[in-house]
Amino acid sequence: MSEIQGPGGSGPGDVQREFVSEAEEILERLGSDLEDLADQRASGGEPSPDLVNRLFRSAHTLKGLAGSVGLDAMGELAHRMEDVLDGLRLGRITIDSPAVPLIHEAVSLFGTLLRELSDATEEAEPGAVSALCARIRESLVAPAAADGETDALLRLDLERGMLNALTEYEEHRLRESLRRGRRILRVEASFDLTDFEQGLATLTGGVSEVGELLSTLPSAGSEGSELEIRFVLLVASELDAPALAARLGIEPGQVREVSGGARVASASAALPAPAAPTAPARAATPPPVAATPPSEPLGDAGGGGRGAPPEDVESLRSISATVRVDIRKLDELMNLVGELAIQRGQLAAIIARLLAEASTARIGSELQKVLKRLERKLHDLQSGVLEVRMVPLQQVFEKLSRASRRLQRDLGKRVRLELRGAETELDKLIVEELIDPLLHLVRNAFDHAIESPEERAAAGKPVEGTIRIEASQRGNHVAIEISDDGRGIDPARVRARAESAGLVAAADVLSQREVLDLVFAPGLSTRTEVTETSGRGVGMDVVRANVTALGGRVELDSHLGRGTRVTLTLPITLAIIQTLLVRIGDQRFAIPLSSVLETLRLDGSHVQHSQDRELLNLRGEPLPLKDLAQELGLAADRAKRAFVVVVGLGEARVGVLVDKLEGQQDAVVKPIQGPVTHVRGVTGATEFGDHGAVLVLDVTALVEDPVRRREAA
Amino acid sequence: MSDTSTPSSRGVAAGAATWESLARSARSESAATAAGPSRWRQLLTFRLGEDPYAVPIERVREIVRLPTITPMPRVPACVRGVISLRGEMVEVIDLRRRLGMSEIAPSRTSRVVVLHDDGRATSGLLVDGVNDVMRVPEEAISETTASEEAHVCGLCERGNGFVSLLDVDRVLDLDGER
Repeated sequence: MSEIQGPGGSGPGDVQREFVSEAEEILERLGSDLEDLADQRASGGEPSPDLVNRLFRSAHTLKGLAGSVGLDAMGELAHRMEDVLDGLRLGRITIDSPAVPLIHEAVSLFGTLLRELSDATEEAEPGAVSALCARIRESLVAPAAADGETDALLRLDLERGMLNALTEYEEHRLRESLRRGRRILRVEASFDLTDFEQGLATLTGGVSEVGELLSTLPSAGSEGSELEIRFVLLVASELDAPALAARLGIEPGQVREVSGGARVASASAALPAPAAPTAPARAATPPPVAATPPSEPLGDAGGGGRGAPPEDVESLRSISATVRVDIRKLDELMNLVGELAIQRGQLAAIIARLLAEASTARIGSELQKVLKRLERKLHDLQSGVLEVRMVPLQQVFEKLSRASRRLQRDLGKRVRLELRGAETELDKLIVEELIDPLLHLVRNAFDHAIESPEERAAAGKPVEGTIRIEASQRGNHVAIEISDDGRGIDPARVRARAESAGLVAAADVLSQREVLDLVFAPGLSTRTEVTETSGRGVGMDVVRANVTALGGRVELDSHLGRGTRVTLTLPITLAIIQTLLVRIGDQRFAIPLSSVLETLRLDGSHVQHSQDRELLNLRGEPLPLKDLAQELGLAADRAKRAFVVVVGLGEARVGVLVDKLEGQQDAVVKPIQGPVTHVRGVTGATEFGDHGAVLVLDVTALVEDPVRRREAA
Repeated sequence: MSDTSTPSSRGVAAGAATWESLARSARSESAATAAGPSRWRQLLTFRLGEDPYAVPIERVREIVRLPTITPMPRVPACVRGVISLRGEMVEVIDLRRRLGMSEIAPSRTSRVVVLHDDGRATSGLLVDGVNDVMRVPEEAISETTASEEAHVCGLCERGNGFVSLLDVDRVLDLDGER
């Protein structure tokens, strides 16, 4: 009784929800970038400036976000992350600083706080934030930047004023470049005032291909007309002045090397790293061209000028271009569209009545024209709303590649993860439900499929294994293939396991396919030992259950010694599907059209009875028949079955017997709310007019193969 | 809202059309008085045959006249089927069947009491007719012992008889039902 309900409006809740979803996204990116950072550190390289800048911007945005909704503890935490990353960015600390691992802790604590905020199922320890913040602050009380290097900068052949104009960050990058023995070049260029942004962007883009843009300074040169603007670019590169001019396609006179003295002095002095001691071996062998940052997912044409963004202008702009929408609101919109469609049906019925009467036929036909236009707009509206729900697989793929990197470190296997088709779009809800099955499949491939480097070498395979995930759209479906070049599945072992688990009898004759299918049986794991990565036998059965629940299908193909391929076939959206309406007795059912191969009139003379099965001779091929009424436990006169709906997904095909076909309909499929949570063969219900609910059938459940049937019995 | 001093139960008669608004106002009233000195409960009463039953009003979202019910395959017998509530698909449980009472055909007074969880319909209970909303102090509800009817969690005196307070969660738990 103490439950006090709000007065309907949910103002603060909305703000908080928005904050949580936005913050989650940023945390996600932070997490992914931190993994990259860890990788770069592990491979002994220097952190890429772009990466560190991105990390810094993420923390900065997070701080502002938390502040704007008054979540002070979170704001404080983000602030401390920002401090560390700023230090890293400006070279005040190195990647080996004890402060760096604390960012990981901060990110995970922030995640906990977020979850606590959104559903209160998790609770951070009280005082955890202030404790961590204090630790971060302590870890940053490290030695100040080395001063001895100022000299190196002074030895540059640069105007004093220009040196003074550099920001702390730019100075840091300048020093860093000198330390690595790169040339510092001064590039001068003039552009027409009216479109200098374009010219500058082209130039900086060119620079970023062969080096690092350290600073762009507008310069008040006297030469040139007043309609021109002159810039001085400071560039660090391996190239010398003439080569750079040639690369940029500008006059040799515009480029001048300014690091002549400074570089020699700096390099030969073998300066220690600014702060904490770094391994000297590493400092002595800088990577050849570290200036090209790891390519970002999006093309970076003309973005070279971003080397040192003045403020967060860039990131703010990209946020304002998108609107974050709660998926539930989209569901509501979808419902509205569905209701409109129902009303359209009623309108059509009235028009049909008007048309039938001679006295009202004229009005009827006028109305019909209006209805046609209405239908078109309705259709546009529907596809518009559907489109909004679609998201690319990119995010899932990022999660997978992060998981893969972690697994590589943990398992000591060398695996290349190839991701293709990240731009393939799917319904947001499906994408979310896909994460777990996909992660599981990738883990499986790592753990079970890819052999140790020694084994691979012995088998004459490349030492590095390959796991490929490829997504592509195929009509109304999206196929995601997860393939590896590992050891493949041994049918004999699967069979042996299944026998000892009592899933099949030793006498059963199973085809190769049927044996492979046993992998999806609950409780079957082909490796005897249990590993931490894949756990025990739970897995493939769960993958299949999850995918089937989404209206999809899982297929497995494997060749011993050569590899395994798992194919997930999924509908593009759950929101609206095309269905075939059928009637049995006095009840109507909707069958998703995506699983209907064809429909035919039942011709009794082509039906054969073999044992307890009925087979239809369909153009010379035997097609097993199933009475839908019997499958669903309906009492309906068997003699009335007059049509066969041939359904199938993948290779399985079954003919389903029904009384009548009633045409195609777009259906908004809704889950059925109630105490009965799952009925085999029923995915949900829909509505087409004012005739109440119509059940939508899951035909894949009806097409289930005999092995699984037996095991369920 | 103002007569919080009346300790006796209070019946409110209303036509079916106003049930939704009634339930809503009762809900806000219960929220307002929850902090008061005595705890009050508001119960929606309905009947199965002549017997009065009740469910806590905060579990009820709306009451609808009997709509077209689509039967579902392979469900316990007490599940009549699915109804569409403005696009939401909700299972309807025949309360007579669920409580093991003799079956009668739905009549003009039959109603579906739609239960909800945070505004989302969770299931509908088919009852013979809806009576009223009664407001009673917590103490007026006597707990039943386990030996009595399994689906009733309390009794509330009213007139010469008792209203049985349904244990909604147990009614909705269909494990073991055929």
